[in-house]
Amino acid sequence: MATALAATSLLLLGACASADANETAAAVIEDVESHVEQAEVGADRQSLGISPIDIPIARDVDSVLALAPTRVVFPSLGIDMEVTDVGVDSDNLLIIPESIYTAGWYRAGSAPASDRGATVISAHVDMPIQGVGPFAALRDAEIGAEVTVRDAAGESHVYRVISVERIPKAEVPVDRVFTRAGQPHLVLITCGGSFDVNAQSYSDNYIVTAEKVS
Amino acid sequence: MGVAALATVGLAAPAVADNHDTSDIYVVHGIPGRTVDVYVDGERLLQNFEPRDVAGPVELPAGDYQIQVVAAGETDLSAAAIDEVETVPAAGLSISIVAHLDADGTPVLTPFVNDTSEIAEGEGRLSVRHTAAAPAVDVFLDDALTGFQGVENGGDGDVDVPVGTYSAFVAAAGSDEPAIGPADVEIRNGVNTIVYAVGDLSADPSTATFYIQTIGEPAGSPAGGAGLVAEGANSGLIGGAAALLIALLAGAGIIARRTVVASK
Repeated sequence: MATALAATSLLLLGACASADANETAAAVIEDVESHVEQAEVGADRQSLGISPIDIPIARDVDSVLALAPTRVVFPSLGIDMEVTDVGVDSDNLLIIPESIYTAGWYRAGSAPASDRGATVISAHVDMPIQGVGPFAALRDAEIGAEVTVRDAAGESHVYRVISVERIPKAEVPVDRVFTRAGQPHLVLITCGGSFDVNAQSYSDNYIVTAEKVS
Repeated sequence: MGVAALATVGLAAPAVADNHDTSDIYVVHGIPGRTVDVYVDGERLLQNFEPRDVAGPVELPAGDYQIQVVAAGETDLSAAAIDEVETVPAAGLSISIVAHLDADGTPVLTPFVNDTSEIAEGEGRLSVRHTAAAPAVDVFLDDALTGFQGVENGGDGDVDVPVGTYSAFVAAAGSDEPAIGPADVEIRNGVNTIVYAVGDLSADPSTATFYIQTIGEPAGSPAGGAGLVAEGANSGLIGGAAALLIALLAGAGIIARRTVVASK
């Protein structure tokens, strides 16, 4: 564009040449030449040769932080308690909250919103001074009973009991209990069986398994 | 910058990708809360690039490239939030250039060389990269401390593990309380799953999360198309696989532990 205008000006100036007009013409020619130079530099610069439209863009929407359980409610057993997240201690034992009124969700296991695996929640059956806890009622769970777990996003997840087991601690099939595979389900665990006063521990675990229905 | 970048990532020799004249370059948007446009050598290549997005692979020959990241729609490149020259040191590499916050919360670019060496059958590659505005972290896998400890912003690590679902979190170095996570990470057969810790832990903890990039997904298959993590499949800690997992992870510097229900 600048080049075309400059060319037109040159023609007009040439048509009525005078000493002053020649000087002006020279200035215009210089100006045009510098514009042409700049255009040439631009042309030398290599394009990357990549069309933005051809660049694939992916977004992994499946990677989300686990939504921890905040509450477990088992109406037929009178259980309605808060849940906190726990890990394992240096002896590979699941850490149980001190209070008999607080259950612990194994944080390296499946969260309730997960589409597979076991959501494991455990609580003390009883404790010195505190007495008997709500989870003591797990042994009375009936097949088909309903359990609801609420998570940190406010979502309620509903399960139905499919099995109630009492297993000596040394025989608990930990790989099955803590599985990350299979249909999403809930596993509630507490202690039971005979009590060893010297060891201050029970002999067995009660394990209630409930399949996810919604 | 190029050779130094390779050295810090700790690769002995670059793996050779398919293309001998160029390298595969990915651009990862690891800054929560900002939609941006990305210019390379003055050309806008990415528009309305959102957090979590991974662009690429783009094939680029070895050389220096000026990368400018601006707010989406901003045309004044002098106002770029990030304006850096990144070097592709050689052809045949796979590199993820990540826009993220440094330890002080300043937006920067960090190139990570992706390990494209062969992965054994039945395994996938887990990569962890600290790209969050946070101090050094320890990485936990299935609630066990791994060999990745004291990882600073810009640091990373890779390990090959058996196919399965793992729970991962990062804690402040020396602590075992999750600072980001836990989150489930899916390790698929032959796939490199790269977990980026992102966000600003001090200024806005709600932004702290993980972004995932996967390299090596079988073309045209839905997520998990290998069928190895279908229900009933031998994934995770089930039966005899537990012993194999422990041996493998111990060798890689990760301590694996089976959980046992507590007494009482």
